[in-house]
Amino acid sequence: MHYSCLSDAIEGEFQRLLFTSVSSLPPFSWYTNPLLRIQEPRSSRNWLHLPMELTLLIFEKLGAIEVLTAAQRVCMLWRTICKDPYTWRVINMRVGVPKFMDYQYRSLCRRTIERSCGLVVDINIDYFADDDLLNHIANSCGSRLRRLRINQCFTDISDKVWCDLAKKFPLLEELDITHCYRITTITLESFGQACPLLKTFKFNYPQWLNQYSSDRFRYADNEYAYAIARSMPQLRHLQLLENKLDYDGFHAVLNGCPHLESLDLRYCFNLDTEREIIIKILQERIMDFRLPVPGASTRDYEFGSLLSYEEGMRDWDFAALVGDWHTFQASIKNEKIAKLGLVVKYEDEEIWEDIDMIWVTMKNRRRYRRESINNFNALQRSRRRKEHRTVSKGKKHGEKASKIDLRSMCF
Amino acid sequence: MGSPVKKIMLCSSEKEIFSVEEQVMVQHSVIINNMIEDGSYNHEESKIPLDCVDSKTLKKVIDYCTHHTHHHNDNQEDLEAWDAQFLNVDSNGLYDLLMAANYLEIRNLLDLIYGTIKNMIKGKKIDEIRRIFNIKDHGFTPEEEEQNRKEYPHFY
Repeated sequence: MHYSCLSDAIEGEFQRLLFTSVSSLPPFSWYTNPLLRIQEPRSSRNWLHLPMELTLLIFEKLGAIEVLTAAQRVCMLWRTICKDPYTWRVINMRVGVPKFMDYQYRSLCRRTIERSCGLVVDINIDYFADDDLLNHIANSCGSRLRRLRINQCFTDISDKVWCDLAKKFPLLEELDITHCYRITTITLESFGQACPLLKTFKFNYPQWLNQYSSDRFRYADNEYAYAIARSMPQLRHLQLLENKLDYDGFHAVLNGCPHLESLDLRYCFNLDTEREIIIKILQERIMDFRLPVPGASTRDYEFGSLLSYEEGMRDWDFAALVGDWHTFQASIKNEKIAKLGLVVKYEDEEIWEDIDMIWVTMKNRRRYRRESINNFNALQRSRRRKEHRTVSKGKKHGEKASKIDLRSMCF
Repeated sequence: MGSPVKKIMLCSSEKEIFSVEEQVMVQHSVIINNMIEDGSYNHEESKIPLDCVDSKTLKKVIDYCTHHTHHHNDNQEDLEAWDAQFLNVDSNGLYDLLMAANYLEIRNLLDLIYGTIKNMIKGKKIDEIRRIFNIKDHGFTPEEEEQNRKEYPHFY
């Protein structure tokens, strides 16, 4: 990411200066103390003499959670670096396999934001995002933020919250919403209108999760494409994986975003690549494009496996479970449809409840082991039991239990 | 006209001279690219002094650049396997490579090394990290260290 050429140049210069003047030489005591010279020959490198910029980059790669838990307790120098607001210009809170419960991630995230003193320009958060956290981010560092990435946000964030949020990120240049549920066209438009600098937009949304039908890609849905075309005229890079747009949506996007330089439409199987006009337009207009070819490489796409689900989830067969659940639901629906002779719309609160519940159950491994939830009857029974429990014992008890569970599973 | 392939001279800290195809280094190293572009390098006389890079490391770096130039179109998996083999060095070697890559500004190699270091640290306990990176003097007072160990035993 190049935030600005000038600051990059200065940084590079500073790095070189630092490197040639200090770091290529051994520390001062190495010259004054002959004993040190014997004990510490040049052959054993001291990683603490690494230029600070390089250490910072390593921390950046490592991610905020690893840094806050382990790295900052390794040595005094690393701790000092961790306390520097500059370190937290880029906050990477990708979790992968969950180790803690949500609220711990949230408090960690808040702590990193406090440490950054509002200097954050790039933030990357995972499934634990909720209204409060996003509001906190927007209020404390929204005015500087250039890049926002939210992955796998399963919590329910309403349109209203998203619209309010969008207004607080005036400098946003890159927005990446990947595998977040219930993002509507209203949200997209509000981001488009509130962030005039938006250059890169990645919206990878498995729309098949929104419907019951097993032939997931059959019905075209251009709403999202139209919203992008309407509200984001300055876009340079657009990534829409697993979108259901067809030729109309595609055409609208190309007309609505005249500056488009790269376009990634892998797994948008409603787009008929056989039509020569599509290829022709793309070759004329855009240098870098990727079409929905079956079996397209997803090496550069972090959630490549999430055409089923992410690694951690796959272990628990979450994807398979959701998939099965959909076929199961579809069969019921089809019966209902057959009976009533009606066309049922995709949006149905009930199924969302079910998915959330599967998700909650998957997170709580103890319950997962205890009850085989591959069996949907058991799943529903456990749900009823859960409702019963929350009524009788209250929420506090549930939280405590999950805390104990976390200890055993983490360390 | 001289030879069809232009060569440049790189001089390591041990004053050993390596002759490399110009295209290879220009493509990978930002510094050398700039040097060639602004004309400060004279093909007949000058050699580029790299005082911070020893011969062994320089040889590896040149290996990397050459391989990635000539095998650019190879299968991605083959390339990754080659990279993994290439970075199969001890932490001292990695340190030298990191410094050299940083000095020459070879972006791809830097990314690769950061990835390796990340994998070395990720999920490890603090004592292990200290051992891997050869950090003997952590700089905490004994009380602080004691308290940390007591508070977060699972990180140690």
